[in-house]
Amino acid sequence: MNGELLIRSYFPKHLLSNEELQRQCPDFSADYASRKLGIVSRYTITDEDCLDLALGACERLREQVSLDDVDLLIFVTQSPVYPLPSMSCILHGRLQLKPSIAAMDLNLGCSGYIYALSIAVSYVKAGMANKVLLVTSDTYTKYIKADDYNNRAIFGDGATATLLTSEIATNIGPFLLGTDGEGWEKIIVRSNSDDGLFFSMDGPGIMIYALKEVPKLVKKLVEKSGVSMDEIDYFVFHPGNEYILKNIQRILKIPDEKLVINLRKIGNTVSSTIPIAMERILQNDLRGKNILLCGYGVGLSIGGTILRL
Amino acid sequence: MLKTIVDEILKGAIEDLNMQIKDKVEYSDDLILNGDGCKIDSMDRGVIIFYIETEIEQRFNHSISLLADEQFRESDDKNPLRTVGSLKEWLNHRLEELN
Repeated sequence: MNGELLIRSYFPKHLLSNEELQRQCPDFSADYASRKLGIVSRYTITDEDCLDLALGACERLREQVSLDDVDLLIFVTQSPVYPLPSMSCILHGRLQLKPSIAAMDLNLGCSGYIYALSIAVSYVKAGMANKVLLVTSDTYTKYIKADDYNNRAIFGDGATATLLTSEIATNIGPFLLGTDGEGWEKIIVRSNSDDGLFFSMDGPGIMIYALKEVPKLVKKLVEKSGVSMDEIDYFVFHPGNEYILKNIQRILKIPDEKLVINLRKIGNTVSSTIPIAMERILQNDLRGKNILLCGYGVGLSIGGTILRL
Repeated sequence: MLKTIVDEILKGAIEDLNMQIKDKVEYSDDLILNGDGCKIDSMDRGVIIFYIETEIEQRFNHSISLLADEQFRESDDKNPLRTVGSLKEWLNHRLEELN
């Protein structure tokens, strides 16, 4: 079955190491970033944009499987190349997909993959789609100021393409989704006349949100799905950073071997973190395994689901 | 009684933090949590605040959000999160109001 859930990732050319960041800013500690954030490097765009990365991921997917009969394209991004038109429409053109296809963008960050999965599964279950191409692509680094070393240490750019068939969609769910609109300023891109667009994040605020809400959602999700915590074989959380993830692990008492951590080389790639981690574990034989996914962050927004492969 | 419970909660928060950091910190009213001379970082403060808010919810059935309070955005000396002592004072006052 797991052969039918295909995920491919794609990254920009430039790999920015902690050492390079430390050379740029002597106050920045490469050791701290490695030890506490769990990040040693991250890919960052130079002359690429989110469409280039998305196309790269889709082309990698196309090497494995035809995209000719895709009938729904969902593009998750918060760093579009243009405010309009939709990135999904431009990608549709670049991939030369058939005209009889629904294409839409989803403006969500770290929870975006889960929300997009929920839409994809709903379309399939409603008989409105048979094969869904779900693309995530974010280039947050274009919003982060050069002297904002804290956020430059955390975020990396990247894209993924997931092909979801009707067979696999029936094995995904239930979903739990949530929003805390009062936290809208905790991660935000603002603009002013001096800096243009610039990114800011209330790190401790996001951390507290994650530590409170992720364990609650996981417990409710497990209860709703009818499986026990012990029956979950892998937990794939949006990482934020390793310190947050380790605290969530501690609260939920998740054994090391069940927690999938995949940010050391690539950093926090926003909407792509979960599918990038999934791409890695799909290299194993996952037949009969339960995989719990949970994303949280900008919005504030949270979502979780369980895959049974 | 309230003061003892608040002290217990803060002590627990620092013990919880110490389980996760390499350079341990010693619990006292003078321990600096924010600003000049502080030896913990913003994520450590996140762990401390999460612990405190969770304990208050469990013990007093009050849901509070420290960072939502404007005083926590004040500069060093006016910020209740400056030291364990100032945080203790703020919590005692806030819980007296709520109870």
